[in-house]
Amino acid sequence: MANLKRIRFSGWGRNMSSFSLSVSASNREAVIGANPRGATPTGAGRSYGDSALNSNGNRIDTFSLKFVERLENSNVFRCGAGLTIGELSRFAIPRGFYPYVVPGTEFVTIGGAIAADIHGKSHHRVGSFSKKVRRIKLLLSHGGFMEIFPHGDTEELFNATIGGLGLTGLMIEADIELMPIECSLIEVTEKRVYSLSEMLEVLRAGDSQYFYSVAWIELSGKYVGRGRVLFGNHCSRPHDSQLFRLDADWRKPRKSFVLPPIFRINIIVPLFVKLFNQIWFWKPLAKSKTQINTFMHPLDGIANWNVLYGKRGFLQYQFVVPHSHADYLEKVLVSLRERRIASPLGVLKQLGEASNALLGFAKPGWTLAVDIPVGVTGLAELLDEFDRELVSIGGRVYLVKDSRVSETLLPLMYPSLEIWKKIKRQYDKSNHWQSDQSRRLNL
Amino acid sequence: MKNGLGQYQNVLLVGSSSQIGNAIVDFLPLSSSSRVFRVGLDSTSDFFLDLTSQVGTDSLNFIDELPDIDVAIFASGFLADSQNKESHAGITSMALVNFANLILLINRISLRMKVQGFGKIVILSSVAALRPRTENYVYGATKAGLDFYARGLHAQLKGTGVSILLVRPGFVCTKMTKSLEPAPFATTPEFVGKSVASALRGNTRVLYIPGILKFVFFALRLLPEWLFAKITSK
Repeated sequence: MANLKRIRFSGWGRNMSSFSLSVSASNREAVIGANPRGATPTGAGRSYGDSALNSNGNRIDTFSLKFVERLENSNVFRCGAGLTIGELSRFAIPRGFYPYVVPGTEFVTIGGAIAADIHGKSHHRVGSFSKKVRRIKLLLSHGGFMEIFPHGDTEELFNATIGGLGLTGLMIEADIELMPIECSLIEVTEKRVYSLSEMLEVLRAGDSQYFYSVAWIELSGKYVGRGRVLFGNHCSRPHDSQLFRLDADWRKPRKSFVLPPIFRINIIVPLFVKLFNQIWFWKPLAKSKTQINTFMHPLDGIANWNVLYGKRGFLQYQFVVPHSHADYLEKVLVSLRERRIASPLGVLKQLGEASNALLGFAKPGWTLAVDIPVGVTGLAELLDEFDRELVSIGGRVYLVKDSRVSETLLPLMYPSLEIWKKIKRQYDKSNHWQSDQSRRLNL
Repeated sequence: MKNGLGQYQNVLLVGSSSQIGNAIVDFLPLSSSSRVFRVGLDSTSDFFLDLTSQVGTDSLNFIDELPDIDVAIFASGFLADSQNKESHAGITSMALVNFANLILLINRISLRMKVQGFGKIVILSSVAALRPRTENYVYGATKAGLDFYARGLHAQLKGTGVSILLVRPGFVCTKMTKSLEPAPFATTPEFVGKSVASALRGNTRVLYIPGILKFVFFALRLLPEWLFAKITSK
């Protein structure tokens, strides 16, 4: 493998980077070839921290695994692990289907979505991504393929693979059940709310009526928790038509704006954030039919918004707290205000049932995601404090966005960690599948 | 590897009783789960290693069991007292602690770091290595060997992701130097610790402490021998 070049990769947060060897997933020998630093499967590189980094090891590029096929007369689609959610949806929409779970960006691969067991705006209704996965074809470290299913003999490995951060094997393809839709439009309802309690109330009330829900929370100014709550439902077919309605532009990814690479220093500073948040809060409410990809992927409007945080990058702190501890959200707001940490991106969402993923993040409760520039003073101590508090009330942080959580708190956040480790060791005896994160957290 | 907030996860300190070494560790950005592995002879050591006698290959095998090391600090140093500085025992100890054993250790760590693809090696040389003085030329010679080795290793590590920070402090008031008269521009271990920790954030290759010594020694090295001898003799 002497001809492979070491390339520097970083996570989406750009706060961590390392050199690794890029290996194509089609090159099976190289994928399972011995390397003391192991290999880590990667998708589109949208994990924020070091989940898809592997210093001096192999980094498996799944670009060659881009294929999709609808299984005969069913709503199950066979997808290559390197296919992105956007590509899948553009394939499925004209056939009258749409994925049940879609994240905030369309540039997430199927493999990545399963490995992180992602959740979307529909989590309160359908749960996380893995709930609709019917079968996964996995390449194990000994070189053999294995088909795993959510039930039966392979259930154990399946539950370790979903949400397993790619540490059980390289996913080749997956069968995913899609939702039949009648129209490629979304009926949107948006509300402005003026306090955190109102926001929680509106979300709670709306979640029974709407299939999609999410809230943007203002993390600047008075930090009272005002923001905008966004709801959506799929439009139904107009009565007089038997045809599937396609709106324009479903074929191509949304046109996005690319920022020039001039941002050396972080410009997400409190002053600008405050300004931006004011504009965002008061911008007119959407109340009409919207194209599905515009509704689903608001962040994709700017292709590389992560460069705005400058050379040192940022991290996204996402946690979930059970419903019984919703007051913790208030505490977080107060702490952020005390430290004057302003963020343009605060996303609050009510989560529904947990999946079977042993390392799955989502569980019933409230989840808040906050983007914070790395350079903020005292950030490490603040987040450590948040973590300790979270553990005591039964919350957890999202591993695929993490780049700093303490190893000692992990078993408390993820009670099934030991079981997961046992399964991983059983199917990966040589510890071939590793990443910078797995070494950092001793996974 | 450094975590997302730039905190070191695993630090190796060779010379567990070194005041300078411990001061550097004190100023490093560490998280609550960071680990510091100390190598040396005193009670704080995680790995016992006696650098005053010839070190065998096996006694360095502990390095292979360590997790990925972000920073390795080589702070062990020995300065024989005034009676022993030219004795057989004194020269042996200085040569082993400051040079011979130390480069064996550095070599092993650098091999380890090459595999992991990242890491910083902090090597504590001395300005005494830059021009011999009658007072401490043996000590200076051992440090000069170390200094030379560090520069060579730095070149050899190019492109591996591993780099070296070569520290050349002036007179530092520590246990080791307490019997000596402080030289001009004397500093404290804390100051050295702070300077090294901040230099580690950037790409500094050679660090003089205090910084002014860079210019002082640039000038001193240009002086003709007779003038240098005159200045440095008491």
